[in-house]
Amino acid sequence: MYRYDELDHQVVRNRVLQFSNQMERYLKGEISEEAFLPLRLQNGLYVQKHAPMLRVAIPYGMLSSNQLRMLARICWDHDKGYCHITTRQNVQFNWVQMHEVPDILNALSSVEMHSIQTSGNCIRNTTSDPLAGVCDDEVADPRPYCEIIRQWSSLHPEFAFLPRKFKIAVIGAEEDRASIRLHDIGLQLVLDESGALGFKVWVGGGLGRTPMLAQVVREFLPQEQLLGYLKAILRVYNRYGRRDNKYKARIKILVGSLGIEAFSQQVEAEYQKNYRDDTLLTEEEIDYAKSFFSAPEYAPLIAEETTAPAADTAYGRWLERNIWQHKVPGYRIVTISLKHKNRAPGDITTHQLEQIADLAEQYSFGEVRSTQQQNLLLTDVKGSDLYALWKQLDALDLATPTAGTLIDTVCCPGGDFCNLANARSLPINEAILQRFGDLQQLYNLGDLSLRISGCINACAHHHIANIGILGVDKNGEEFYQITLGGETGQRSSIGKVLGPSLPMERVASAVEKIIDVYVEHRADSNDSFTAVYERLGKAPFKERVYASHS
Amino acid sequence: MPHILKNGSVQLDSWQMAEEAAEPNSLTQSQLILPFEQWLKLQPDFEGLEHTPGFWLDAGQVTDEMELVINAAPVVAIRFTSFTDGTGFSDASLLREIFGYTGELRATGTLLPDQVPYLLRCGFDAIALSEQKDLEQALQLLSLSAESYQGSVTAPRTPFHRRTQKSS
Repeated sequence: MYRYDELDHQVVRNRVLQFSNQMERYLKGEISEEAFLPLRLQNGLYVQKHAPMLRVAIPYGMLSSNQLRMLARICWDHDKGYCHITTRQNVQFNWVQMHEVPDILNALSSVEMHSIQTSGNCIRNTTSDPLAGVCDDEVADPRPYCEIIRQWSSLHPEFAFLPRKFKIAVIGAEEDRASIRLHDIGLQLVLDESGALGFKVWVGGGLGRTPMLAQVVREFLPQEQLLGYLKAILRVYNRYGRRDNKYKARIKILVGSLGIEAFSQQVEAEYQKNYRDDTLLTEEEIDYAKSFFSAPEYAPLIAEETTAPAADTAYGRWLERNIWQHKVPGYRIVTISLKHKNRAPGDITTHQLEQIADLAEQYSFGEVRSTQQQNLLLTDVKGSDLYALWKQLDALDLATPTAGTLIDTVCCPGGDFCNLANARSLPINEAILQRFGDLQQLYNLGDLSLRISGCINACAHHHIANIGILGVDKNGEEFYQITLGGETGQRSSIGKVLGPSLPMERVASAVEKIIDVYVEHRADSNDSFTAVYERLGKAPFKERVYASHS
Repeated sequence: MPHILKNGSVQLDSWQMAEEAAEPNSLTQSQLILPFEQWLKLQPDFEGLEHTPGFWLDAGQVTDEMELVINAAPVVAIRFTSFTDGTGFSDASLLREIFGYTGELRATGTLLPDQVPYLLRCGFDAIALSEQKDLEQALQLLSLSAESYQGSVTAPRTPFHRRTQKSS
């Protein structure tokens, strides 16, 4: 895991001091609301419905036990005893006090964390594959490059006031667990014919009002040219991206209006004009970055070492759904489920954070990762420790055996908390949970994704769910639009709107009907939802959902 | 006389911004920053003037053609129309990095003191804010921005460059 040196500490400490200065001036009335807005957003501070919300970066999803303990302390000292894990490897505190934020940032900096550029029209936290370094389908570990990008993009002087937010994701694996094609820039580590390492570069993806999949802007970018090329893309965007309309300001709109070829030519021209040796990453630098992500000291184990008492069906279920293969024999990757019926998806309490910190130290080299599905992972657990770990996770309500099923729901805080939301998302989730309580039924359905966003900002990424639900406002009332057929992972696709939006009370039953149609038409349990949807089209789903009300 | 921030201090500004096209005879009397169009038109007649005028343009108005003439201007001012519009940051970087502009590059218009550290690192070397107290505030914030990962347009670096230099 990356560790700060003196430069990192100074940059982050200075940032805390700058923000303290800004907050002081704001509270004294020396900065207008309008001027304070971009300043606080660049420090992850939103003004929400009930209280300000602070978003803190979990760079490429990695957290140490010490960092977890600090998050726990902040939950306890400054929040209501819990926080929220987001879909983009951030953590949110929903009940902070404005004047306490500098203290929180100070506390975070002591464990090498920050909230720099977690919101606002700037380069956001770089996200990555939560299985980086432990999965077996990886060309190279993306994390060293994520860290290079984190540093390069943090307080970059040229790109702090972009037309709109800008998100970068990096993967090294074939399977895309970071949804790179939904990012402004997606980077996939690949080898060229000569075996040299570089990136396939995608640009112009994004959700929101106009969901688009990113397109390839460069088939192969040698790794040493990474930063110069990113700068060229960002400069073209900063100069030519639209600023007159918030909904047309993302880079996807620029790419769409120019066409990918013309955009690519502009970027290449900019890159060539500005090509300088001092933007190239040296081998030494890359090796230095890599040195922080070497594999932990795995014990030599035998592959099939899991202790599963046959009688314990709850444990068996958990093994079936929440455990993933590890590239090292004898080790497993464990999903810590943040989907429990008594809590909002992604919410985690002070006590749980503290306990996970201990469990990570005991079982997984003192590190956890956060996932796009709003869960946590212990990535390096010995198979022989699984039963003991499960018992402890279960006692903490962190072992709901539903990873990857329909009710591993991704859900934003919605209208209950968020100022931007048009509708609540949590009650929809609860209503769906009530209908899909039978685990056997869920397992029979197999892998399915359900995502619920409270507004078009699409924080829950509903467009890429098999079943996506979007809260909309109709004359002051909460309505919900359903999209079907979205997908991320092996391939990416954006879901299509099923029909007119529905009132809250009809949403859960609509989901049930959609599932019924799927089950009736699938060939077998390997026939995925999107495969069936693409085969049938939306007609039978639409017919069923709207039948009795047409 | 208004103030600017330059060379690490707040000082009196000897230049005058001509918001509209200036009277040609005023060129002999003051140090003027003309609108770009006028500057370009009058440029052949600058020889013999005690103070060669500079020019200004709104952020986002930089064109490739300027590369040929820009070094004839002792001052180029980029006017920000809104502090949320960051086009001018790229303009400045472009002028320095690609056009090779070496004269004074000043930021003017609607800006926050908090943006000054970024402006300087993008290659601006003079900052004109309407309120003197904002310039003082900017100086204070500058003292909290001594370190960065990227360096500046004039001394850029990749993030790990210094670390690997040290260790080798």
